[in-house]
Amino acid sequence: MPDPDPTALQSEFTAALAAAKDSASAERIKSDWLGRTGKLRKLTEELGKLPAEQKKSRGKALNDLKLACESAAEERLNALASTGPKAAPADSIDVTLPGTRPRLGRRHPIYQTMDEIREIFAKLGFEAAYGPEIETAYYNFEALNIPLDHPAAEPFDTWYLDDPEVASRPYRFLLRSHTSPAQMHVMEARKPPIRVVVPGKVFRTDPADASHLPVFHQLEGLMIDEGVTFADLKGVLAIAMKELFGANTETRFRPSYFPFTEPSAEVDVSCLLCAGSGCPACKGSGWIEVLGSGMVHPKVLEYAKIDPEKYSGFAFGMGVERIAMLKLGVPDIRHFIRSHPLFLRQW
Amino acid sequence: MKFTTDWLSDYCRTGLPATTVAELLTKAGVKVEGIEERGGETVIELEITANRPDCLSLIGVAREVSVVTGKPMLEPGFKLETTRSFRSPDWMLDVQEPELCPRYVGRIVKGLKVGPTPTALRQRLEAIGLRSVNNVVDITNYVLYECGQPLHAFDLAKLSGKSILVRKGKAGEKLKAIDGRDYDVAGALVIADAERPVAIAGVMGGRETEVTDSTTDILLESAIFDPVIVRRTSLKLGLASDSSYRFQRGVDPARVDWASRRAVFLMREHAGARPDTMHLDTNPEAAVKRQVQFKVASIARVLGREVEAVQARKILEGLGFEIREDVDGVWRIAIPTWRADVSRDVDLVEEVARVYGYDRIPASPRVNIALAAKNPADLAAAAAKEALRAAGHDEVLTLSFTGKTAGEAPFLAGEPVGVLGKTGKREEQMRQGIVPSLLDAMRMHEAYGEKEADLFEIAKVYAKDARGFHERSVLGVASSRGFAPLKGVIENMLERLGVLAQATFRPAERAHLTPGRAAAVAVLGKEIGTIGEISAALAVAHDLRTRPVVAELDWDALVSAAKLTRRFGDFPTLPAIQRDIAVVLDRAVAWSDVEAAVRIAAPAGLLESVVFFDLYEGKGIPAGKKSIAFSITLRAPDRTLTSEEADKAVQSVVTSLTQKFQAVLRG
Repeated sequence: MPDPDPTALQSEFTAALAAAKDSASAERIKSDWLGRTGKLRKLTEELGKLPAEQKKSRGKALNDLKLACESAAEERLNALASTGPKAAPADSIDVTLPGTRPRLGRRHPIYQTMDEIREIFAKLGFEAAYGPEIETAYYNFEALNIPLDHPAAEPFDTWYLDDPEVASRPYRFLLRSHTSPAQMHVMEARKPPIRVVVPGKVFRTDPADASHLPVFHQLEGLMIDEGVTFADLKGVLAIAMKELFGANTETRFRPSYFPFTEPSAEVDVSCLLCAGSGCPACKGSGWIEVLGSGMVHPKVLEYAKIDPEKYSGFAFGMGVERIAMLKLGVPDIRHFIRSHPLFLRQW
Repeated sequence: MKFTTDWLSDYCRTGLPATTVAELLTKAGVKVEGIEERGGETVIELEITANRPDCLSLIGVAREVSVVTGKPMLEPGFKLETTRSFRSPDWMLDVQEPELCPRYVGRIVKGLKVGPTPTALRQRLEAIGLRSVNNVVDITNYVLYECGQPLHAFDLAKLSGKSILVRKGKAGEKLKAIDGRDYDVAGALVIADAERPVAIAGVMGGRETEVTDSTTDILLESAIFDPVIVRRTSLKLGLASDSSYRFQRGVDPARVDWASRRAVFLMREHAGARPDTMHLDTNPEAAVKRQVQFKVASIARVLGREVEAVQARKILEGLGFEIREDVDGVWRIAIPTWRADVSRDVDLVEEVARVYGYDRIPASPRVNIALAAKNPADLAAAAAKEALRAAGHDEVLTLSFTGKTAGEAPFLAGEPVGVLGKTGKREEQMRQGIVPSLLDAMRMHEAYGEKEADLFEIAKVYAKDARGFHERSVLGVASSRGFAPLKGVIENMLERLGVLAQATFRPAERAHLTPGRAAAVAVLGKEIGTIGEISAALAVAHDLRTRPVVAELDWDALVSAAKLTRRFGDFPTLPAIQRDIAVVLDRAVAWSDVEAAVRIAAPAGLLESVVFFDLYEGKGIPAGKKSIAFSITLRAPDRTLTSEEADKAVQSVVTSLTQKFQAVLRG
C-alpha cells in the first residue's frame, strides 16, 4: 500500500470540515479522522511495519499532520459554535439569574463625610480630638470671648440643661452649640504646637426644617504655633477645599465676625455646580459659603494660658451636614435623620 | 439694615453703580444681602454683624463706602439756635439708675404742627420698609436711621408732674406700649413721669404719651441705655424694636446730643417747631476716646503679609481712627467713639486687613509637616463599622433627643436629662439609651415594606444622677434576623476589635428585653452591655409588628479594650483529626457548660477546638431534652495522631458529659 501523502490528507480533511454545516457533523468528521479508531490513528498504527530508517521521518510527518488537523478541527468547531445553534449541556445554569447577594451595609453620609474631612486634615498634620457634648457656659461662651448677654451670643441658640442645682453652680450646663469648646479643652491639655480637628455633634434650638436640625455636626480645626499667620490659614484651607470639593475648587475669604477669632473670615468655595459662572444653587454669585475661620483671638489664648505674644494660631469650623448636602446633592437636611431605607441605600 | 442709594448719597457720593458699591462693601466685611429696585429707588440690604452697630446707620455705612471707594464723606451740616437748659421747677429730669442710663438728653420742643410728613422724607422711610406715622415721629425715625441713635418723643401735655424719671419698674407696674399691648414692667428700666411708667427704656414708648395729631409740645428723648438690661427686658417681654436692636449692640455716646439737635432742626424745617427749645444733658462728657497702642509690625506678624505704613494709616484714618503719635512704628491711636469693638492691637490689624483686601493676602502654605497620630477611638470605630457593614448592617444617624421615650430602655443609670428651649421651658429630653432610636429606625423600615433591616449607630446617651450629668458613647445594633445571627455579627465585630476571646455572653434579665432571650455581654469579666430580643411591650410602644434583636454596648469601654494591632502567630502543620459528637441531654443545659466540660475532659494538649454545629429538639428526642452536635479537632504539636488516640479522646469526652449532664451519646 502506498503511503498517503500528508499534504493531500490535510487538504482532504480541511475540505471535509469546510463542508460540515453544523457542529455535530464537524464533530463526526473530527472523530472519523482523529478518534480512537480514526483514519490517522490507523496510519500511526501502521508505522510499526515500516523499516526503522523510515519510521522516524514518517512518524514526525504523521504527528505534524495530526496537530494540524486538530487545530483545524478546533478552529472550525469554534466558528460553527459562534454561529449555529447548539444544545445546552445537561448541567448548564441560567447565568442571567441574579446573583445571591449578601446584604451590603452602607455608611451613613454624615459619618462618611465627617471621616473624609477628618482624613483630609490628617494628611495636613491635624490630629482628631473629641470633647464632651454636655458643656458649661464657660467653655461654650466665656472662654471663647463670647459675651453671654450680648447679641453676639444670639446665633448660638443654646439648649440649657434642666438643672435644679443651677443656682449653686458657677456656670450653667448646656448642650454645646458649636464644637469650639473642645478646642479650649485641647489648648488647656496640650502645649503648642497644636494641630487638631474636632468632629462632633452640636445642638441648637432651631426647629427642624429643610435646612435646620436641632442636632447636627460640625468639624472644627485649630492650629497654634509660633509665627502662624493668616496666610497660613488661607493656604491650609485652600488645599483642604480642593481635596474636599475637587482640584479646580477656588476659595474666597470674606471679612466677618466671630468673637473667638480676629481677624475673622467667612470662606466661600467656587460653586460646585456652575464652577463660578453663576447658577440657582449659588444664587448667581458663583460662590458658596462653606466655613468660618480666623486667627485665634488673643483673649482666647489668654484664657487657655497660652502666651499670645509668643504663639499665634488659626481656627476654622464647618457644618458637616451642609458640606454633605452640597457634595451629595441632598436637598433636605431632614433626610439624614429619618432612616428611610431608600435614602440609606443610596450611599 | 436697609438703605436707599439715593439717601446714602447725602453722606457719600460715589457715582458708582450700586452693584459695584455692594461688591466693595461685601469684600470689606459689610455683607450685602441683596439689592432690589422698589418704586424707582435702589434698596440695599446689609447683614451687619453684632460687633458693628455703627453700620446700623447711614452715616456709618457711608464711612465704609467712603473708605472702600476713596470718595469723600459728607457729614450732614445744620445750624440750630443755642438753647437754654431747663431745670426745676420748670421740669425735673432725674436719672435714678445712672449705671443703666449713663447719658440722657431731654429736649422740650414746642409749637409743633403734627401732620403728614413731607414727601421726600416719607419716601426714604417707606423705601426701607418703615410705615409713615406723622412728621414728628417720622423725623425721630429718620434720625435714628441717619446716625444710629434711637429717639423718642413724648407728648409733653400728657406727662404729669413736670417730671421725667429713669428708674426701675415697681412691682405690679404695667404699661400699655405703642403696639397696644400691656407689659409688666416690674424690674425693667423704665422712663416714668411723676405717676407712672411712660416708656420701657430703650425698647418702646407708651401708648398714652405718644405723639398724636393734637400734640403741640414734646419731650424729645435721646439717651444711652445699658445694652444688657435692654437685651434682658426685650427678651423677657418678647418685644423688640429698632431701638432695642441698637441699644443691645451699643450706640455712639458722641451722637446722643447731636441726634437730638438734628431732630429738632428737622422739626423746625418740617413740623413748625418754635426756636425756644430747652434741653438738659445729664452727662455731656460721656464720649471719651480710648487709646490703643498699635505696632505696625503686627500687620505682617498676623497676616503674613506686609502692608505699607502709609497705606495702613490711610485706611485707619478713613475709618475715623486718629493716629496721635508714631514712635518707631508704634502708633498711639485714638479709637472713634462709635467703635467700641476695637480695643487691642489685633483689632486694628483686622481693620487694615479687611479694607486692604483679604484676597491680596497670599495663600502660602509654608506650614511645616507634622505627625497626626490616629485617634484610638477612630481606629476602633473604623474596624467595628467595617465588620458591621460587612455583615450587611446599614449605619443610621438618629437624633439625641427622644422626647417622651427618653428614659425608656435606659443604658446609663439615673434620670433622663431635660433641656430648656428658647422659651426657657423643658422642651426636649436626651436619650438614656440608643435602643428606642434604633427601634424608630426599624419601624421606618417596616413602614416602607422592608422585611429585613439591620442597622447600627455609634452615638452618645445621657443621664443625670446625684453626682451630676453624664454622657457615654454606645454602639447600638438592631436586626430583624434573630438572636443567633445578630450574636454572630457582634462576635465578628468583637473579633475585629481583638477582644472576642475575652468576651462572654451570659443569660440576663432586662426590663426592655424578652425574658429568656437576652444576654449580658462582658469583656474581661466586666459587663459592657446586652443583646436580646426586645420585649413585646417595647415592640408595641414603637408600633413594630416584629420583635427585633438589639445589642447595646459601652463603646468607650470597647475602645479601651480593643487590640487592633496584629502579630504573626505560628500555626501547626501536622495533620489534625476531627470527630463529630452528638449527645442528648436536658434542655436546660447551656452550651457554654457543655463546651467547658469538653475542654476539661479532652486529653491535655491535644484539643485544638470545640465547634458547635447543630441543635435539635422534637421528633425522636424525648420531651425536655435536646440533641447537641459538635465537632472536636485534635492535634498533637509533635507527631501525627493515631485513630486510637482520637477514639480515646472522644470516649473521655462522652464519659464526662454523661457524668456531668446525664448525656446520652446519640447513635
